[in-house]
Amino acid sequence: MRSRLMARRAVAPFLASLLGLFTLISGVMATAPAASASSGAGWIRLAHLSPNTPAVDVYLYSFGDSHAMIVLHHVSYGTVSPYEKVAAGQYTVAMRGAGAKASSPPVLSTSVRIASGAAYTVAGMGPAKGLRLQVLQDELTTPPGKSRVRVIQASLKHNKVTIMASGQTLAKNLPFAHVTDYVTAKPGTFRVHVEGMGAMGAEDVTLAAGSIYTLVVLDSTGNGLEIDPLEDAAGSTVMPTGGAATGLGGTASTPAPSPALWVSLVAAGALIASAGAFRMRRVRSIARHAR
Amino acid sequence: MLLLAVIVIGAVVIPIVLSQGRPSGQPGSRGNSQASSAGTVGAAAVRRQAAVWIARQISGDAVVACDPAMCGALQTAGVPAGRLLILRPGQSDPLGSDILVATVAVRSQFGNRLAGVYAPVVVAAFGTGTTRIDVRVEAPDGAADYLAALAADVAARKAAGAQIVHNAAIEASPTARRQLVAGQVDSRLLETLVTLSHAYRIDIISFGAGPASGATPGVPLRYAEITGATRGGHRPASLHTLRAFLSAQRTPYRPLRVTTGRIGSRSVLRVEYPAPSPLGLLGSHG
Repeated sequence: MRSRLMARRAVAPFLASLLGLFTLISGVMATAPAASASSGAGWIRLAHLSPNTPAVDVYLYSFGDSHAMIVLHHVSYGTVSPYEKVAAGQYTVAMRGAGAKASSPPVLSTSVRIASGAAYTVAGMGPAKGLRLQVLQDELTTPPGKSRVRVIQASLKHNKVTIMASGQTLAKNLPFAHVTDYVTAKPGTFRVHVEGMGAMGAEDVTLAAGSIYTLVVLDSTGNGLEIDPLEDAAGSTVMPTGGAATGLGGTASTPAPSPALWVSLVAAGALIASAGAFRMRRVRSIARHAR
Repeated sequence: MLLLAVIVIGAVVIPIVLSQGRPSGQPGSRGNSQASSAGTVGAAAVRRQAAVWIARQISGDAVVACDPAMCGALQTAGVPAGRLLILRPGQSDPLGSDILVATVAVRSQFGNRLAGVYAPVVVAAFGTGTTRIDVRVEAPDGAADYLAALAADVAARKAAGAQIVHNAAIEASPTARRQLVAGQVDSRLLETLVTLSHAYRIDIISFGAGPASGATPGVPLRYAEITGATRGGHRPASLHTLRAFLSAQRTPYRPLRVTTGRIGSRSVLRVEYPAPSPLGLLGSHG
C-alpha cells in the first residue's frame, strides 16, 4: 500500500498547532480492547508523527460511502487518536490541511484494509517534504504473563536514537520514521531512556502482563527527546492459548475463564462501548458539519 | 506481384492501426484480434504489434527483457535502449527485469522455467503458434510467491469492489458493477475512483471489453470510462475538473493516460493505468 500524494501540494506546509478533537489519551480509551473485538469489526487509530508537518485534518472513509465516517480536526505532531472500532473492510485515510474544506482534494491519502479482529495505526510519517501515510498492524496478543513492546522513531531533530530499558536495548540507532517489530518483555515498571545525537530523554513506563505497548520517540520542545508510551491492547491474557487474534470474540474452544473474570470483562466492555458510542456520536456530528 | 505486396502490407499495417484505435487499456481486445490474424501475419509483424503495445502500455520505468530481435522492435517502437535488457543465447536466467517478452526464442531458451519459475503471469499475448509472443511479468521472488500475491490481490479487489457498488456517489453500469464485484478492476483504479467520490459524484460507463483471452486469470482491467454525475441537484463535475484531479495524482495513482472521448452523446474521460498492475495496494501494510 502506498500513500497518494497530490502533486500540486506535495510540499505545501501546514501550520502547527494542536487544537485536536482528540488528544492522546493513554489508558482504556486509547487501548484496542482485544477482549472486546467482535467478529466483523477491527480497530483503527490515526497518528501525526511528522515533526515538521503542521496540523492536518484527518478523514476516514469507507470504500462504500463517500461521506467521512470519522473526521479529526487540527491533528498536530505527536497526536495519536484513540482506537475507533469499525466494520471490517477497505477504508481510505485522507489528510487535508487544517481547516481545508472537506470537499477539497486531499493532500495525502492511503487505503487500508481492516481485517476482522485486527488493529491498525495509520500514521503520517517522515519529513514534511517526504510525508507518507504508513499503515502499521498492531498486535493484540501476548505470550502468557508477558508484555509486548515496539518503538516508533518520530524524532527528526535526532534522526537516530537508541532506546534502553533496565539495561536491555529495545532499539539501537533506530532511524527516523522507522518502526521496530514488537518484542516480548517482562512485566513491571521500567525507566526507559532514549538518547540520540547528544539529546536524551526518559520516562517511567509500566508494562502490564498481557498488554501491548508502542513507545513513540518524539522531539520535545527545545532540543530534547521524549517518550510517549501508548497502550495498544490490554487484557489479552484471557486469550485462549494459541487462539486467533480475535479476543473474546474468537471461536477457539477452550475452557472458559472464571465467571468473575467474565463479569468484570463484560462490565469493562460495556463501559468502553458506552464511552466509545458517546465519542463516536461527537465525531459523526462533526463529520456531518464538515460536509 | 503488386497484389501480393498489397496483401502483405495490409496484413502487417491494418492490425497495428486497429489496435491503436481501440481503448489501449484492454490487452484482451488486442490479443483477440491479434490471435485471429496471426496466422496471416509474419513473425516480424507480430513482433511489431507486441512492441507497439509494450511501448504504449507498459510502465515507463519498467525494464523489459527481450531477445535481440524483439529488443530491436521495441526500440523502433520508442522504448529507450536504457530500459531494455537483451537476453543473449546461453544466458542461464532472464532475471533483472520487470517485464519479459517471451518470443519463441526466449521460450526455447528457458523452457518450462519461464512460466514455472521466472515469469508466471501473462498480461498480453500476440500471435499464435511459433509466432506467439507473451508479455510476461517477472516474479523477483519466484512464481509461487507472485501467484499467491496475485490471488490475494484478486480477493482484496473483490472485497473492495463489493463495497464500492454501495457507494452512493459512484454510479456504474451493470457490466461495470459485475466487474467490480468480480475483482476484475485494477486496484489503482478502485482507489482513485473512491477518492474522486469523496468530492464528486461519478458515473462509471465501462471498464473496457473485459479480461484478455491471452492474459492470466486475475490480471486486472486497467482502463475506465467515467463522467461526472449529478449530485444533490448540483451540476455534475466537469470533465476538466475530474481530469485535473486525476492529473494531480502521483505514482502509482497517476494514470498513464487521461483522454477525452464520446460515447453516444456523452463526453467521457478515459482513464488508463500502465501494466503491470502493482499487487498489494489494497492490503493492510504501508
